[in-house]
Amino acid sequence: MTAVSKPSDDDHDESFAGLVNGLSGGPWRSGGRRKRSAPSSATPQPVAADQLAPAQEQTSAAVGTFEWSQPAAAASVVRPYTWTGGRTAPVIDLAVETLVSTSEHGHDMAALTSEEHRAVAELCRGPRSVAEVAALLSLPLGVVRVLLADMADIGLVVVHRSANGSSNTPDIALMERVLSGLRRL
Amino acid sequence: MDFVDSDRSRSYRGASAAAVKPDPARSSPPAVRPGEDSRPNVISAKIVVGGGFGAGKTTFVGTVSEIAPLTTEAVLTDASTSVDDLVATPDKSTTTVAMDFGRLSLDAELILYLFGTPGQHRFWFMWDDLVRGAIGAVVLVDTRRLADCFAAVDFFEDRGLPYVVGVNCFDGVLSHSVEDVREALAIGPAVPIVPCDARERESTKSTLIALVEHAMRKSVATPA
Repeated sequence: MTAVSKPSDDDHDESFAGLVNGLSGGPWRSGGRRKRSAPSSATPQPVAADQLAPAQEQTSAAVGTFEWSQPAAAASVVRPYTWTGGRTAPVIDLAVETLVSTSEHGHDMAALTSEEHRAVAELCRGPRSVAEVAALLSLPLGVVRVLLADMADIGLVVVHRSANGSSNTPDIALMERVLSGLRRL
Repeated sequence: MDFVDSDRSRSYRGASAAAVKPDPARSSPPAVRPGEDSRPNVISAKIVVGGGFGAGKTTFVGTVSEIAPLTTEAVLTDASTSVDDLVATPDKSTTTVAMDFGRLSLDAELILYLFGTPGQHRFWFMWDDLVRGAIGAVVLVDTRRLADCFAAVDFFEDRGLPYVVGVNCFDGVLSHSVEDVREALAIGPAVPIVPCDARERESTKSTLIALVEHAMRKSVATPA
């Protein structure tokens, strides 16, 4: 029994690490390692940890499959959010087309304390949409939203005003501008 | 490496903690400090491009975009796993939804983004995000597979988003009359249906123009 469970644990460990590290195409793979030591206060973390522990105690083959699917799913879902300290909701509302650009403060290299912030600051020297930042950094949109909202909060990037004002539909003046812009193309 | 990591993690976490603490100045973000808003006059607008798989959404976006279309991804969380069919791909534990988009600088301070909708209907949660604040949508229709665009038409109708139907004429041939398409899609007479070759820049341009004109008419008719 133990002979069966031992290699299975090792396998699991490998697959776990593989998922965690290999999931993102982003250049900061090392972020994945952080996840394992992430404090259990990070919201999604305790679930995975709790499920992992009992699964390791069990030695039956049936539980082995549970062990395979459950933590793996949790890891791959959670992983990109290690970037954001486990948070999934940005502090400000950013649409996919919202423009951001690096502020003067953000040009100050000393203010950029993390790799992620430096990458964004570099990218947003000219105005970029949230979607562009996500695409060019190969990060999921949700992660980039949290990241950008944080950076805006500490003044590293400027979030451009929305053309829509308070309503969810663009105003007629903007549409006129778009129309004449398209005609000029 | 681990040391560097934990260090980095800590500094980032510090930033998060600062972000989380209640801040009365939040409503006026530090983003608009004086001297920093020379470029921030640049604003963006958004048009959504919908249609069935293979209807030419990505081609359409690529034809007018000034950049090669980019793809952004959202990782589906476990909320989707119950609807995600994993039978065919048992090894797959997450799904990413890809959205293609392009960008057009319309004037010095206006950038238009074109977003292709993710193909499958089950990603409607992303469509909601996409249509919010959009000027309108172009629904591309391949007349050989009309039914493929029903979902997009239904969605935009339901959300009250102005849309035009671009009937993709492959090889420059419109194989069905506009009225046939209108009838087949059960679309009201107010919705413009325009022939459109997604590979032709002029054609995609005039489709976009038709959409914006339609959106303006609709906006005037029904003031928000």
